[in-house]
Amino acid sequence: MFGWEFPPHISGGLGTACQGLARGLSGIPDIQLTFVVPKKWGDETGECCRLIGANQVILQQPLFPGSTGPGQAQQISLPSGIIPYQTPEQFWAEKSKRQAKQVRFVEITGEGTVNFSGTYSESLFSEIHNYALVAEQLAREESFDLVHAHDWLTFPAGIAAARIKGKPLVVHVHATEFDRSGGEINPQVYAVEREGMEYATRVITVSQLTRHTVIDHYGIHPSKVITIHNAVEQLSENQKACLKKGLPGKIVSFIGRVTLQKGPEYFVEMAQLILQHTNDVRFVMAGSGDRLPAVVEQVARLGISDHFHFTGFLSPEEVHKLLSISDVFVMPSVSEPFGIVPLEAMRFGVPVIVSRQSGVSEIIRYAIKKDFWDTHGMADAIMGLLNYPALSGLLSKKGREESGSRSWDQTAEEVYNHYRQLSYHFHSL
Amino acid sequence: MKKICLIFRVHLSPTLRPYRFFEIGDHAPYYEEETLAADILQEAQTCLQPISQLLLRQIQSNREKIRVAIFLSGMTAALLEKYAPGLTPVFRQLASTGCVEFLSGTYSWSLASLYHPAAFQRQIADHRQSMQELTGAGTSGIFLNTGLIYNHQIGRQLRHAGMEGALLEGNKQLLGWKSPDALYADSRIPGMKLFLNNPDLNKDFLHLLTGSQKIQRPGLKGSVQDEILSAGETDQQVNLFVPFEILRQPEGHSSGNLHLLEYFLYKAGQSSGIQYCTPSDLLHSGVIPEALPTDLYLLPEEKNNFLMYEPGNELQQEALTKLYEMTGKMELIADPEVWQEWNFLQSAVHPGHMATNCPDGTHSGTNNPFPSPFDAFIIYMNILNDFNLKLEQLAKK
Repeated sequence: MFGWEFPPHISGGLGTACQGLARGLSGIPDIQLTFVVPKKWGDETGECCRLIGANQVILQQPLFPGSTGPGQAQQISLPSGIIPYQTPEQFWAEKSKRQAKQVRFVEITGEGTVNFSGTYSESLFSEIHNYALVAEQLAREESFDLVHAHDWLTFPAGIAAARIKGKPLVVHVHATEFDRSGGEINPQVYAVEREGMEYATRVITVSQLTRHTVIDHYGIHPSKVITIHNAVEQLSENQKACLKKGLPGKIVSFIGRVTLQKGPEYFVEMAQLILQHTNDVRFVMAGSGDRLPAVVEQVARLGISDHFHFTGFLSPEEVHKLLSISDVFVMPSVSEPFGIVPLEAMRFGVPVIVSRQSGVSEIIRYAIKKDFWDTHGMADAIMGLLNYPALSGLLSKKGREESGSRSWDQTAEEVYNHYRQLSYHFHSL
Repeated sequence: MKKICLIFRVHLSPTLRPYRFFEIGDHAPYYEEETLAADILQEAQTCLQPISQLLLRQIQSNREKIRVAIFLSGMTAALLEKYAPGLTPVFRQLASTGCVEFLSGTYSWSLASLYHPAAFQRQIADHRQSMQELTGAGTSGIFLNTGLIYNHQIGRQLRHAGMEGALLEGNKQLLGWKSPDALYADSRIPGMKLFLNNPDLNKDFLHLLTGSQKIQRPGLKGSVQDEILSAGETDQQVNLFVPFEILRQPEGHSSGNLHLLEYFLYKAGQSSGIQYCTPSDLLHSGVIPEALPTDLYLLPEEKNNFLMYEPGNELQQEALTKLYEMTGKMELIADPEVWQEWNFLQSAVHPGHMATNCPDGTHSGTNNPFPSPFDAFIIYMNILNDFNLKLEQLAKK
């Protein structure tokens, strides 16, 4: 399984979902799971599976261990058509030689490994490229029956690994470029996504909404695109402990990246509609992102800063704290393939309002659903929840039950059923 | 002789406008006048008009043979009066044939019987008056409560209002092994007769009338029609409830499924072993009713189209509790328009939209005009709060 993120080093729902699925799959005796991330930090909570960092995979063994200077490095011809290099001179020297057409170059460290930042830095494309090369090398050494790649960043790696051993590839679409960009599609990203989906034997989408995007915008045949909804981790006892509120008044929270996709501006608009009439409500926006400065400005311009608070990016524990003091959680996403946070909020017994443009709205009943642009409707729903205890009580109680009924084991079971269809190995059992 | 008691029910209720929280105190209208007018007119043309004309025609051509009972809510009468006045004479004509019994009930097809005895009595009285105005003949002493809800406490209130009988759901909880197809008397309330429907048969009958689905019920020998129309044992009676709206004509069809009802009425009219009658006929036919204990709180067990309300959900309970808390304030009000609003707010259709488990298996019900039961609740509560403020302001004056 290839994934770009694994908790605690995450920027959003992707890593959480990967871990959840990995844990779920590890409960199935038939499956031995190896999870490859670009960079292993060492503090991952990955007891559920074998976790490999691509930065630890050795492409080239140093001839004399200990002597790592460029002078001593030896070129060993690999059958892979990958030529590792350590310095620009080496690169040009190799590059100027006559090479086979398919040869690729990769920069390595003294230990013979490739460096990865594991983040979403500027050199993302070259990292993705290198990650695929490492995946290929790893695939040569390992034995496996199936490759499962999460989101476009790992699609090239998934293809490389699957191709080299002739094994089926499953790609898991947690988000598409259409969700992230809000219309301005990066053609390079789109091409990578599409190639992965086309090569894959099965495409798993996290919601019907995303399934339609994959079919309509990527031209993938509907027969191989299936929907398997995400789930949410169950609460442990100490997490259930409730926090005392420091602030007076009711708290309405937004948790997510502050990007176009998540609709933070609609949250602010809605806050303003409410604050025009009452002073008893506070709004908290947790998360960071490229729209944050604009949103802060918007809040200042509307003059509601005294009741609108920004927390910046929150760790999972801090998110739990915020949820335990929230009275309403709102997810006004413009385009949300799934959206795990509402499920987390429901697990904490917080009534939620989600946009109809989200995948999670397909599977939850005890939530209020509004169109993301309907800020008046959302403001109304918030006031309803804050003023009519019968409603918030019902949503809190039933929502908790509902979110608890959807576990990662269930999701993993569904994924496993598709594995069985794809690989004869799973049939033998 | 087998006795068939056909009971029709008509209730029109306006759909509430999405009333915003911040409109509380504005006393803006709770309905969109134009939409309401269009809806009522359409309902009159596609449903009320054709069915009532059909009944009138059949009664006139099979004189004395066809006798039916109709419950029409007072709200319906008021709405027709205002938006489809052309339709009201047909009810007067139906009453004048002497073959139609107009049943008693609540003015708003409300759930007052469960929440507020005084409001319940007022609803009964208002309904009686509005029927008097509409048909000129008044109502009978047989009571059709919303959702067929009945227990001995309600029975006592009904007796107090001068009722002689009530119609209720013939569920197993109440009947045990007794047959629903007979006349009963409430063992605890002297003089209170009970008419029960047979839920399975009733459901099949509705399917038959709408032609909606094939009926395959274990234990059914022939067709439902045969079962109903076959001449039965002595003194057998069958009560069949028909809500008008299920016979609504699909748009663009002039005839549609009304043919099935017409055929049924005609067929029964021809048969010699069958007698149509109204609940009052049964009551005065000399049949001695068997006593039935009604200590259990009796609520409909079967959810069919006839029932729109299923108690238990916290939203519905809260909304109705808050609604009937205002009963006392209403007593100080004389303004007929405010009374009309109060009556409209009592319609059981509103809490019906807050149901979270619907008979048809969907979350909010296919006929729910609101996106979810939660939206329905918020809108209703916003309106109630506004109405409450209105009452307080009026009381100060």
